Amino acid sequence: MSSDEELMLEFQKGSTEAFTELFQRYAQRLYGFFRRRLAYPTRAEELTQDVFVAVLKGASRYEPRALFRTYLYSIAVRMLMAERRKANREAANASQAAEPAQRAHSETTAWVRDAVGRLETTEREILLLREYEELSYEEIAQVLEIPVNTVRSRLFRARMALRELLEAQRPRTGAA
Amino acid sequence: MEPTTHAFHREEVMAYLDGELAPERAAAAAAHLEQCAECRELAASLRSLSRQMTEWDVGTIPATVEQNVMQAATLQKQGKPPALRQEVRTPGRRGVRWLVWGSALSAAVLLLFLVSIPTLHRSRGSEELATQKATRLSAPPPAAPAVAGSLDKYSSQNRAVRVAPAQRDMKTLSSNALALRKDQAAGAGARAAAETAKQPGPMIVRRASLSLLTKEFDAARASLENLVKAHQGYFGELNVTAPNGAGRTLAATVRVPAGQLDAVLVELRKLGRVEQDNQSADDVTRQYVDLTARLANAREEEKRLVQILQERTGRVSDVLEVEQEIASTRQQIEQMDAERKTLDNQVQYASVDLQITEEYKQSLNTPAPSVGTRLNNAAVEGLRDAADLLIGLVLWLLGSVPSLLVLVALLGWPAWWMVRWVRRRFFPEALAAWR
Repeated sequence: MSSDEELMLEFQKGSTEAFTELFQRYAQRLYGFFRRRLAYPTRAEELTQDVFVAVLKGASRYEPRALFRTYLYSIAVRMLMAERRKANREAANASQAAEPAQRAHSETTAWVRDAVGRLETTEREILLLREYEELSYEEIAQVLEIPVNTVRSRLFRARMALRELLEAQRPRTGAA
Repeated sequence: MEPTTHAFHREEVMAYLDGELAPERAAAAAAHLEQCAECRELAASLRSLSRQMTEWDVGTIPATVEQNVMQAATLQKQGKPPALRQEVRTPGRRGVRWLVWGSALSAAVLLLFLVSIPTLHRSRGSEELATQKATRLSAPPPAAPAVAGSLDKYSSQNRAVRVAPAQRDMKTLSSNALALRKDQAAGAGARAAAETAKQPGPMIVRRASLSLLTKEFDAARASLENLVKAHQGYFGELNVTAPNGAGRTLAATVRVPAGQLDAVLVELRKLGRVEQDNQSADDVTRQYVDLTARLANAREEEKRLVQILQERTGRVSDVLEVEQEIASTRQQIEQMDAERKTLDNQVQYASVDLQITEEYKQSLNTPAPSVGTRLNNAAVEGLRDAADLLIGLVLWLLGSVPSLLVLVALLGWPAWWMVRWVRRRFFPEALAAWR
């Protein structure tokens, strides 16, 4: 089984199969990345596409100095930041914007999502990158461009804060 | 649980569970967890938290995403690069980002430098010129050439006569006196011609101008003084200036016997590097001969007048007129005598206008100030420069920002509109592909 970096180098040489394999490995994770951070599912889909299109466009400049997934999530984080800036501008321009059409979530999903939503922004990002994208501390530090020690200390703080929030908002039905 | 009293910090327990500890430290942490109930509790809590987080379900990615991305990949392979809905900085473009920031930083440094230039000039422009003036250091000029003045003894008594000269009254002089003067004039002319014939050769006034540059200023000055003394010359004038931040300069007018001028110039040129060297000579022979003849005539006339005054008797008015004439003649004699002495001096002593400039050396110029003074000066200059920079920056902002804002407002919107138009005009299918 080829590594991500090897697949990317093969794709640089013209292998569409290599790119398809990379898409299969990361499409669902990337969709989850955006889905957990954006209110609109359609925007999550679009941005997932955009990240892969950005990989397509930037493939000729790719150098395997870092892990491919670090490269991929760096693009995703930047797209997310651009999206948030854009959303803030639009929200300022149209205060009457409609509420996002939320999917019907299970009660436990809403419980965790609301608790995570109450965390401080950077701590939330670090926690999500660790728990859902399963990036190492070093990779998170590279993606967010902050020191590794900061990642560790803020991740711990985020987990402790989330633990308290989950305890405080535990559903009455008694989820695990 | 206090980290100071505990073998493992709670963050390390978390890092252990995340697989982020080094192997040795991880083994130690595992052993510690076996023994420490608190840490086990924390580890269980963290594991539970991770399990709880997996409850957040986001659903499955729609199949259209894969179709669109693969369509874009096909376009890419066909040489039609797909377009993004929004441009994003990929990690591979970090070099470009550094280039942009580097350019901005360079521009800021350049701006700072341009703003600082007037400040630097101002701080250096406050040097004061310290001038040491030494005039006439040498001995007074030697006695002028001896001039015959046998009638000097009459000068005091003639100057005592204070009668206004009146040339037309000369006609009233006695006929004897007038006749006598005519006779004397002829004899005096002959003697003057004889005196002129005694002058040796042409009368030449020589002048030279010399500019030198030297590294050894003090040695050059000492050599100059010795040189002038050795050649029996003297300083007509001597000025030394010692400005701060520049070499000293010596400007002197040296008078040396005309016959030794060439030798003196040769030696002077050895005092430094010659930057300018001029010589000139004026022939004053005719002027000198005329002056000598007129002087001789005036003396003869004065002698006759004195003789008339002594030998002839007459009316008091006649006596007074003769004395008045003697006084006038005496005044002319003194003027001509002084003029001739000056000419003699100029001929006998050539004049050299000399300028010696020291090559500037910082260390030789002024004693270095103390460290405290230098620190103080640097601090004061630094504060002054910082204040000037701040004021300059504020002035620049006040003066330029409104114009820049107007320019950005005028040019920014059309540029943004053009970019959008180009995208819509030339890449519509690529945009439609993943909308």
